[in-house]
Order: sequence, then structure tokens, then C-alpha cells
Amino acid sequence: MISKIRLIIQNISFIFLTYGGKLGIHLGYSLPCFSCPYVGGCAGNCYLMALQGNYGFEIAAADVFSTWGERALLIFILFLVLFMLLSKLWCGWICPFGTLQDWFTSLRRKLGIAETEFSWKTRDRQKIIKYILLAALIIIPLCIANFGLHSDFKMPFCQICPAKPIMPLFCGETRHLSLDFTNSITLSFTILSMVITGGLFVGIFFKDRFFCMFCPMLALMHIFSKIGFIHFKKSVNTCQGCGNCKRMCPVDIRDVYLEKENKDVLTEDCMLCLKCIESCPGDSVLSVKFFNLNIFSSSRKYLADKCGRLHGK
Amino acid sequence: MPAPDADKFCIHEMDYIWIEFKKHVKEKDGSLTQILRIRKSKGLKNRTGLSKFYNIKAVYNINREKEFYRAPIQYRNNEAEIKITAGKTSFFKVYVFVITETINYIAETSFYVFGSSKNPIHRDILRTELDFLPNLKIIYPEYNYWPQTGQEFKFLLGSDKVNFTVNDAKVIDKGNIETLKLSPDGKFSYIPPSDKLLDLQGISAFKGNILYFRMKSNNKITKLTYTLLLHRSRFANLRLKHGIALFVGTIIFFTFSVLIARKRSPVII
Repeated sequence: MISKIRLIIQNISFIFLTYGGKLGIHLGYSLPCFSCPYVGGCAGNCYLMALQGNYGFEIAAADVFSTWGERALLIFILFLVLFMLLSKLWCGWICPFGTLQDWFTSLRRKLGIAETEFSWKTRDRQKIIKYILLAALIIIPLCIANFGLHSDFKMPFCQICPAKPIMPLFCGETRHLSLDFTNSITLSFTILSMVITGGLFVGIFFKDRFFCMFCPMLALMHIFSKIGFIHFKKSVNTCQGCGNCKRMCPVDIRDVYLEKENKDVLTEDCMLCLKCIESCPGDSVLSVKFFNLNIFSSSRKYLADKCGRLHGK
Repeated sequence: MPAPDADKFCIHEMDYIWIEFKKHVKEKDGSLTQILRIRKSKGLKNRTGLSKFYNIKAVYNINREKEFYRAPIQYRNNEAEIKITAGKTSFFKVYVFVITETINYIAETSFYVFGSSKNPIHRDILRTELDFLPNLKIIYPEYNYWPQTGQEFKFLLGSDKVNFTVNDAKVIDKGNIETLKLSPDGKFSYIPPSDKLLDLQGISAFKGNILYFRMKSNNKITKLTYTLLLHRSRFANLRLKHGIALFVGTIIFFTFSVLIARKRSPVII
């Protein structure tokens, strides 16, 4: 049931955020998801673009305490409010690039191809990459604004983000698949972009939510995760340790399984797809709450019904 | 960013004034000021009585409205500058002119300024008519993210109040002079060529090419320049086939790598 609702919301969000701008809808520059601004007619912009640009760290130090700084702060506060309201639901339920990855996963499953596994060691090592990307997309614009770094380094993450060449294809725009021979910087960025996009294209086919493992938006969200209104709780006392949560997780999170204290288990890679809660056989062992209001919690009956439906009983 | 070598725009045989784009300044209240420098060709500098800027006037209008405003000219180190401030996103058309007995020297340009302030900006409205200003209409290409090299611009010269004939139309691009072509529809057309220096300078770099028109009406000559603000082309250097080839090649490479790794072990790394 939850999976179906999620799928419907994901598809509606994809259509809305990709084509909504054509109806004159624009939700601003603060969206905590990959609603790519390079899509002509998108209904709102990914906050990472603002963060790297004139509404973020590309403001010169002298302009911080001016209207320009105020506007950047306003856009950041709006990002925080949007993030606090829905937390990681933005990733698992709304993000158009996440939805695209889930379509690839569905295709792979229909073709009967097994998912590729990474070792835990590799998964742990990968976690740092998203923080390195986040640091780069902050430091480079600062250097452009204050230390005279070449302006072709502008929007460094957008220039290599795989969403930039892929998402505009849904509007018939192929331009971002080109190599740009204008100068050595533009050429290097476009070569890197094509190699990353090609690699990720393969990655998202063989591995669920492959890009999310490197997504700097997740890193940014994790910094503010404590102030979100949505909490993901585990009741350690009633957990029987079956390991379903670990097995069902599309991004290989094992922290929920390993957690031994009654605390929030919303980890940095979690995108609140709720698959772990759906597959948990313990009543209220795992639950997602908005403040103290229960949104969805695990139950033996829910799992039994789901298994029954799967086996046609 | 100023033109790399402004003197290259000074052609000895021709006398004219032109507007050069300088930097823009972000003000504390969110408004934005574009600084423009008034320049004279060497030919004009040599003319008696025009060696100084004292008789130059500058006006501008906003968002193609009819009202004109005075632009105060600031003199510094033998240079004349005007500053145009915008509180919100506005389109400015600026005219600088020197009127003599026989020749009107007019320099014109137009540009957007993306201000973001709620504070009102004081403007000095002009009450007198400016009949002598010719109407230069610029027809921009359909895709106009910003004016850029490699795109075709068309120029239509006309005036409701003065009859004149255009007897010279040129474009000056860093010392190179090219005669503008007149189309059968009465418009001049110009495709600015790619500029390697502009390509190297970065996405925010720009330059100003000068369009020069010499017009005659009754016994008076008008020498009009228009500074066409140009950015580098966004499309000229894009190679889609190269990009797709690299993209597909990378997909093939990684697919084979993953398949080989999966054959060896279910956990690939």
C-alpha cells in the first residue's frame, strides 16, 4: 500500500517538477531535491544551484551584509523550512532524479537482472564522497567571488551533475550532452560530466539509488537533520533482529538493524522510502513520526497482508 | 570588464564618440550600478574645440518608456564617466551627444541591469525634446539569453522628425573595420565573429563592438555609434556528436566492467 502511494506521488512529482513551469508554476530556488534548473520549464530549482551561485557562496565578502546577503539568507531559510517539514521524504518521495533512478531499478527487475552488491567496507568509504562534493561546491564559488578564480568554474557541481545532461532530455533538450570546446576549462568540465553521467547511467541500472550514495544534497540535509520535524524511531526492546530492514534497504543502510538504543535512526543515506518499515514483522518496532504524530509504523498484519498479496492469497 | 585595448577602437580617419562598458557595482541596498565611460576617437581628439568633454551631455531612458533622464557626467583623470543605477531589473538605453554647428556626435548603447532593491532611486527627468536623436532599432536574434558572438543582429535606422540618408555604416571590432551590409528590407545586418580572447576570459566576460553610422540631413551630419555589448557564444563551440560518443563509450566501458566484476563475485568491490 505504502509502496504504491509512494510510486504515485513520485510520478506526479516528477511530472509536476519537470513540466510545471510550462503552466507558469515556479516554487523558487530552495527545493531540497534535484529539480534541475537546466530543464526548460521546470517548476522550481534545486537548492544546490542557489548555494553555488549568486544566492549562495558566490557572494563576495563585501556584499554579505547587504541586500544580496539578505536574499541569500532568505533562500537558505526557505530551504531549511522546506527540509524541516518533509525531511528526507524529499529524496524518497519527491526528487525527480531519484524517481528516474527508481524507474531504472524497475526496468532491471523486469529484465530479471540481479542487483550489484557493494561490500560494507566500500559503502562506508563512499560516504565521504558526498561531503567532499559539498565542500567543493562551497569553496569554489567562494574563490570565484573573493580570490579571482576563473568564472568558468562557476556552478562547479552543476557542471558535473548527471542530472544536468539527463533531465533536460525529458523536454527534448540534448544540448547538455555536448562537449564544450570554448576553452580548456569548459572542455575539462564537459568531458568529466559525460564520463560521470555515463558511469552513473550504468550504476543506477545495476544498483538501486546509486547516485544517492554520492549526492551532496544528502550531505547538506544530514548537517541539519536534527532540526527536522520528521523522526524515524526504532523500538530496540521489541526488535527481534530479523534483519529485514537491512536486506530491503535500497541504499544498504545497516544502522537501523545495528541500533541498540532507542534513538532516531534517520541516517545520512536514508531517503525515507519506508521499505524497511514495510518489511519489519514487529508491531511498532520501526515508526516514522511527524513530531509525535505517528505517520506509519511497522506491523505484523501489514507485512502478512503484503506477503499474501504478493503470493496471490 | 573593459575592452582589452580601448585605443584599438580609435580609427584615425574617423571622428566619433562611443560608450565603453566598465564594471558594475553592487550597492548595499541591493541596487546595481553600471559604470560607462565616454570615449573619443583619435580623429575627434584632434579637432579644435572638442579636445575636452565640457560640451558633452548624456541622457537615458528606462524600459523603452518615452521619458528621458539626465545622466550626470563625472570627470576624473581626464576621463568622463556616467553611472546608471537600477533598483530592479531594468532595460536602459543611454545616449551621449555633442552638438556642433555642422556635426552631431551621438553615442548610444543599451543594456539590462539586474537590481534588487525596494529603495526609490532619484532620477532627474528631462523636459526638453531630443528631436535630433535618430531612432536605432535593434532586432535581436530569437534566442537572446544575452547578445553573443555568432548571432545575427539587424539594425533599422529611422526618425519621425528628421529626414536623413545613411551614407556610411561600419562596424569596428578591436581595430578591424567592416562595412555593414544593407538588406533589401532596409535593415543593416551584422554577425559578430567568434573572439578567442572572449572565449578564454570566462562566462561573465564581455566586449563592446562599435557600430558606426554617418547620416546626412539638410546641412547637418550625424555621426552615430552604438556599442553592442557582446558575450561569447553559448553554442558555437558545442559538439553534440563528440559528447554523445564519449557518453556511449563510457556506458559501454562501465557496463563491461560491471559484468566482468559480477562474474567473478556477487559482491563486486
